[in-house]
Amino acid sequence: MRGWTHFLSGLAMASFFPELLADLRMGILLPVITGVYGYLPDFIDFKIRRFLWKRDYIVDPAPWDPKLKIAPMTIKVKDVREDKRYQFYALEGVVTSVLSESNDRIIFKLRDDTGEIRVEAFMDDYIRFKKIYGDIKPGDKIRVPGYIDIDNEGLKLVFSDAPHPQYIASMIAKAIDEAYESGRMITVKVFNIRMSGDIYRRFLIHYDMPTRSIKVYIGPLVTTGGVPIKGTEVPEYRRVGEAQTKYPFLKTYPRPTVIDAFSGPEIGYQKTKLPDGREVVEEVFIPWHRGFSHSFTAGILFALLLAPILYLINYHHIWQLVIASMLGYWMHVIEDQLGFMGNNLLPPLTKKRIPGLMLGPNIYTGMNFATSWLMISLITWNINRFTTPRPVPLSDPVFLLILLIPTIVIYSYGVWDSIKFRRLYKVYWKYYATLEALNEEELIGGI
Amino acid sequence: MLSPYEVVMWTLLGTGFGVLLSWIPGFHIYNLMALIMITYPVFMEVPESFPFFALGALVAFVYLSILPSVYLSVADESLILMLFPTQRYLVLGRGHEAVWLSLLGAVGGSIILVILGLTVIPVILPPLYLLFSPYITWILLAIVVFMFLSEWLKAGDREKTPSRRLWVAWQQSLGGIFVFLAAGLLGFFVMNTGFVPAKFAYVRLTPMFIGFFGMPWVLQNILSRRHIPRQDTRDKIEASMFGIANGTIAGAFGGYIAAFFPIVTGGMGALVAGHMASSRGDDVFIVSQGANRVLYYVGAFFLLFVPTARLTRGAGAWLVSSIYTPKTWIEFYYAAGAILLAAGISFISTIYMSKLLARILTQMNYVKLSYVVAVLLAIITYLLADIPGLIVLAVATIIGLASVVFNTRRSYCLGGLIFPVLISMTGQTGTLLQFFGLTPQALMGG
Repeated sequence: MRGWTHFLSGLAMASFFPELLADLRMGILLPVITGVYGYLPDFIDFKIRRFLWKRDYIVDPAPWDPKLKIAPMTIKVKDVREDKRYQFYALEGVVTSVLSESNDRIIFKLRDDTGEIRVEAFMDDYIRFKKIYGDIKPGDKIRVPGYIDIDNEGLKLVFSDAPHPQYIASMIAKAIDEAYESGRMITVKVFNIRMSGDIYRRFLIHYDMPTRSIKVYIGPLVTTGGVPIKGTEVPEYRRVGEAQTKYPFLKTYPRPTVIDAFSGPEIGYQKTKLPDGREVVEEVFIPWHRGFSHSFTAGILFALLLAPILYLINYHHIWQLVIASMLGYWMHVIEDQLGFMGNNLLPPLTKKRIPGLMLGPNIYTGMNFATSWLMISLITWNINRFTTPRPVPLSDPVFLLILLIPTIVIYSYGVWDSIKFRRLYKVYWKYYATLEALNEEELIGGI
Repeated sequence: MLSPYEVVMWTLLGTGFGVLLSWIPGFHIYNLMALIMITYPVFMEVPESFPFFALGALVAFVYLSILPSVYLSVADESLILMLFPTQRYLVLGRGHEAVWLSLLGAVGGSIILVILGLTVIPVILPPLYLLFSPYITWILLAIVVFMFLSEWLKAGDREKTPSRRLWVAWQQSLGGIFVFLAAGLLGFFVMNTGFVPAKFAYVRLTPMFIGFFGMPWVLQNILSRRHIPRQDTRDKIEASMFGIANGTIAGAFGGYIAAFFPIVTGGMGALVAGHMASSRGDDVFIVSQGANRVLYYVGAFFLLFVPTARLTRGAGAWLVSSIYTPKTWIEFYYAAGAILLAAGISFISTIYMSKLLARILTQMNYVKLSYVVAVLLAIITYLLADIPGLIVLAVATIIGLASVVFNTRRSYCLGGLIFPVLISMTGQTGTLLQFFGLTPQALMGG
């Protein structure tokens, strides 16, 4: 569900308590806290836990310039090392000699105050190089972007407008192998590629299970809204990177993981045993999400924390507000339980996520709207029954039924959709759980 | 009572007035209507005509004012959320397409407004008002709290240690709170002291909003030496039917929330509605904002015509009701027709104006144009509110730029409106004035 739906659910819980509604009418606005509690589980995960999560591998194909916060970062020649191979940087210096130049290739030496390095541009990149720099000669001062590479003659910079995807593929493969060998979850943080002008170089990570290979595709530049910019595709010869893993892995989300705007995702890799006894490495998308924070236990604890604060500020309806806040928190957990991923509902009594109810698997938008409408209906209904004289002079059950018609219709469709879908559930539930996690991150990120 | 012919005539006059002036950056239709009302005595002689003139002008403003926001980055508070996506279209040479998307939303919003207005609204509005009017402060505060809670923390991800990541990320949120409070305090002073003299009462918020939402973008265009590529002026859009429908409905819903609840702005309503309808993507968002603004501005104004409620929502409605408040069902039906008439004319006008602006923009240096716009905004501010207006503009511009520095939501500048209202609704205006050492004399501008 979207953030507002959770927030609204929290507010709706306050409306069940006439004392809190009376406070609100008198301008005592503390009951707004119930809305905060409705949103709190996602707040904890996305605003706190995400940043504190331990990262085992950092995959940064194009490190940012620390001041400009865009790629490529300008480095010195002395900082060009083998462990930076295929990453996207820029070098600035003076051309000392042009070693060779033909119809589709130029090799020259560039010197800065720390050393000298070979720079190469070839094929489509050579044409682009000539457009930008023209005919270079010794003594010219230039800044060249490109990826670092190594050959028989040593380290060099290859002129380009993106990193080489081989770097990303190799790092992911390495993480998968380590997850298998160590038996613990390995978290990889994949950074995005941010370029000048608030545009991003899109790339895709594809897990090819049968061949045990990780394939990475470099895509076009896109805007923060994900609109591709025509003519910014990279040449075919540096479009794909591929790396083999030593061990089998399971990709539960069948589409490639796309990384472009906002921050890149954290991906966990965990060794797991399949029903047939085989051991594979499984992908866990954003592993910091839907842990303890999304449980009834956490709801109780966080609500209890509120009590002494309310006591200290001398609020008169402490327990009503504490209970309403706890219910708001629980509503978040219940609403998330309607989807695929599910939650670990009662830790420490329960240890694992309990799969969700999978309501309306194909009508996410409708289910979200129906839930929001349900909460608006509850608020309206409660306000009406606690107001004298009643603005809507209908009996409580009739008024509630009228208000709930849209929710009942959409939820009924959601149940039917779910029954239809359950036939495929056993095969694909993990795929949808990951899709849901991906959606959730995109939606929260897209606010 | 006006005849149908007179209704059409006054609507057309209002629409023409709006079409002529609404594309100019920095002009807000409410300011212009205030000036017209003061300077043009005809409305005092035929007061029944003013609501229809104003309605035509308002519809034209809602349609035409998309142009300065798309092409010149000058927005009012209801357009601020739309600036980022439309600017992305502009830098891709697709500014005209962004205008089209917004117009589709606006047309959809106009139709929804009239249909709902003629059917459901007169029935449900009175009980809704009775139900929710005691809880407006709660609703307003809830939306503000949600704005802060739901902000995506962009920075911090690249820091080395977890604690550092957390701190850098949270600087954005703290920056947002700072911007909201700074804007709020400025708004509080502007609204509660005589700094902007009473003779500029109708326009006293305009310098602040130009400073928050218009000037910072223009200055950014200048500082970043922005270059705009050749614009494609073909009449084509890339969007799905579902996206357009989703955006229109979500935008209309948000617009109605904003129209119904005082001080809830179009942008805030759009945020809520976007969440409810799970709207995603730049195209859907632009469509939703187009619909949202129609409901926010015109829908709020239309409430004045509803005989069963006659709610005065928005500065336009207050302005008009000071001369004449529509009372009859026939005026209500006339207004529904006037909305559609004005919408049709404004739609066509916006398309052609957009093509013209896109061509001019392609031929002009964008940085030089931005200088001209900056000077124009300053001149408009001076004409509207004299030297105090320019001072407010300068302070508001600094606050607007602070949101850029903190990389936080620019909509937090809405604190300039929301904060003083929240303070007033909770009865704390006097306390805060006292806290800042302001006396009742200061309130009188003495």
